[in-house]
Amino acid sequence: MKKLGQFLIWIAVALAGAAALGAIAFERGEPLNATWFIVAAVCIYLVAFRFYSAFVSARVLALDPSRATPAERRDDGRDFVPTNKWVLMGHHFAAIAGPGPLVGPTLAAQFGYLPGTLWLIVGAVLGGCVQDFVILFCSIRRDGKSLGQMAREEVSKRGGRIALAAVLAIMIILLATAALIVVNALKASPWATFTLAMSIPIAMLMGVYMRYWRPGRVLEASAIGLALILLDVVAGQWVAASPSWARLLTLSGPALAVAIIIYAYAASALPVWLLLAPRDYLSAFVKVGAVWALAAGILLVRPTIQMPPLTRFIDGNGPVFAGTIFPFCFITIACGAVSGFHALISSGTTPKMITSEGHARLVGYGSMLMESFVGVMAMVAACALSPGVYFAINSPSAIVGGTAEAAAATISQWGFQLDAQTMHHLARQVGEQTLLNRAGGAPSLAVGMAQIFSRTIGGPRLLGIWYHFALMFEALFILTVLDAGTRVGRFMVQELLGHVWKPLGQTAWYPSILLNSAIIVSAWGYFLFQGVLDPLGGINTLWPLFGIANQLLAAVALVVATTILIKMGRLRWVWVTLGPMVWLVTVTLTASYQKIFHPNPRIGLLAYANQLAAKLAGHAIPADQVAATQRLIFNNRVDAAAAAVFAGLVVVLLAEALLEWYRILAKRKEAVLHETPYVATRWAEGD
Amino acid sequence: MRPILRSVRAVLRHAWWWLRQTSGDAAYENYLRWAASRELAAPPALPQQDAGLPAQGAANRGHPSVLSPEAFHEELLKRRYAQTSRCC
Repeated sequence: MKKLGQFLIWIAVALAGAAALGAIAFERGEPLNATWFIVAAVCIYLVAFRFYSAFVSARVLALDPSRATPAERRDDGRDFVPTNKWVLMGHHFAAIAGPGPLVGPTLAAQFGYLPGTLWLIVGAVLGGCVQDFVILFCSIRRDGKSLGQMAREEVSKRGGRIALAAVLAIMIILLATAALIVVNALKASPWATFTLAMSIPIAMLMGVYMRYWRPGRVLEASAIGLALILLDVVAGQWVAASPSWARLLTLSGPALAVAIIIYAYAASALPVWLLLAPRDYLSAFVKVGAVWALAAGILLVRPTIQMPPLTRFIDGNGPVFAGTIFPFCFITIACGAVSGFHALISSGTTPKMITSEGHARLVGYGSMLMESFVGVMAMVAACALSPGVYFAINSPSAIVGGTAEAAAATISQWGFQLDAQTMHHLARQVGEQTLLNRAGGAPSLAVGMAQIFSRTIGGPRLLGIWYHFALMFEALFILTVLDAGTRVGRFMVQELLGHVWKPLGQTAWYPSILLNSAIIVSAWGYFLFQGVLDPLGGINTLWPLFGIANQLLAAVALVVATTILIKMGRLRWVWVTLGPMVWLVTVTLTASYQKIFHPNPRIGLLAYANQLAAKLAGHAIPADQVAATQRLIFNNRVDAAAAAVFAGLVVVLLAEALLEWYRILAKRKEAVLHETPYVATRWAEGD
Repeated sequence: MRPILRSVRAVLRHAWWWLRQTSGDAAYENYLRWAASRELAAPPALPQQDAGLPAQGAANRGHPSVLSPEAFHEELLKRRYAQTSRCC
């Protein structure tokens, strides 16, 4: 009887999910409520977790709770620490959820809500969650080894080097893209600039508190920091209202880029307890709080979706970024659907803290489902905006013009109603001088979130506060990614240069710290400046490059996972990782090819460089813009080379893996797994 | 009414415990428990879950293998931020 009841409940959940998804997919003209998105996503996640992840656990991976994990065998009280599964899930989710699931869906909303929403849900359930779960499992079975180490041992030595190169490449592009989003969010906004600038002394105060006054008291320091940061958001409006302060804090793109580069350099070189760690604590609390608030806000307000399911920009001529749904939707939304970067966390700290193999399902698969849900909420917030407003905020001036009147005329021609007065009024309401041409996704998401929040608390009167709270929340944790990433990148460069001259590899030697910090900051700073100076907004080039690099890493992770499954003798179930791998390789290679060779100059980097070169040769460029044009030509060729390198890495790794699979399947080589030997757990099952 | 209050209190206690564990607020207490279990130090009087930090001096004096809260906190952060700890 109980079984029948459970069966009926799951049938009801599945039917509710299918009905909600049907309502989203087949909506034609009637107003669509955001509740459908939430119901569809939650029901599908529940069914996927209950059935698909259980199938992967039992049949594909054969998780063995009787086997001692690295946390039990090597328990050292520091790195290897047995941790309660719910606590570890919290850790893991906080580590994987960055700005990607918020920004990617917001940018992909230019295709309409349907492609992005479907990819977020289906991509996560069949790809992203599986990748995180399987890599976590593989790392647990190998004493918490990293993705690079597993690639070297299980695929080939070259495979390991490719994984390391991919990590460094993605790090550089990621940091540049993250910094560009912050620049575009803060540009000409004294309120936002003040709020974010003040977060630095607040974080330092927290650092001193936790270092000297109350060592390790994270919650106390975070509570103080949160109170100050909220005060900071409110105080920003008074600063913006003061003409002299507003003038001082109204910064251009290049000025903000320099400020962010200096900040990241300092965060990488200063002791970690002073700036980086306290900012991370602060941003983690703000992030989790804002995400929950957004979920509650969407459920309370139930906003109507204003974006159509598909827009005219599925033809590849979108103003936010150019390119057709395939492959660009699938690289624009990486985090939230499938993100290679997660494999670094799943083979980093998490496998060293897991108490039982059985917990890998909740931690690996479950956390990624939650991140996908964050992505769906971001899509809702972006699509609840009027499409005209969405395109005015996210389109570069080279496409829609630099004034509200010009933008309104262009966007109305596209079929999305917008009048200049709406943009002026909205900018005034949120306390900005302008909301035009703020490519990057952060400002439009902030407007969407602010509209949802203000309909819950405060009404239009508090729209400005909510907007700047949302902007601060996004910028705060993007900067956390930036400073933590710069520091890790510095360690990678130190490791590399240590082979050239040993002292350069010493992580505690100050000249080495300063030099290597400068190297890593220069690397991403170059791409950042390129984006800031790009007349097409920078995001058009950098976000697809970041997406390609991220999905390249996902392909690397899935190649490693597939190789391990083949070696484990699970050929029958190999489609579980092989399917997403084939998809991602196809997407990455197609996107790389199009970014390099596409004849449309807005998509193809070489076509754009050649178009500019032709104009230059024909003396069609004004004399004062010749130097800038030459720089643009060079930058586009560098970007094309970067895309080619990413694609080349995938091809080489794939060839290595295919060879290895052939040798094993043709019995020309023994399938040797590099798992640690079985040791029975001394603990009872459970926690 | 009393059972409801008891349940609410239990839920709040669990939530507080989870928050302290997840945020790292309880990291040093966990470390001291681990050190005591390994007999690195004479088992100190283990702190209650939500009490203030333990008498670290007592744990340290004569037991150099157990880190002080300051040293533990600094080492924890150095190790955490030497590897990828935040995703995109």
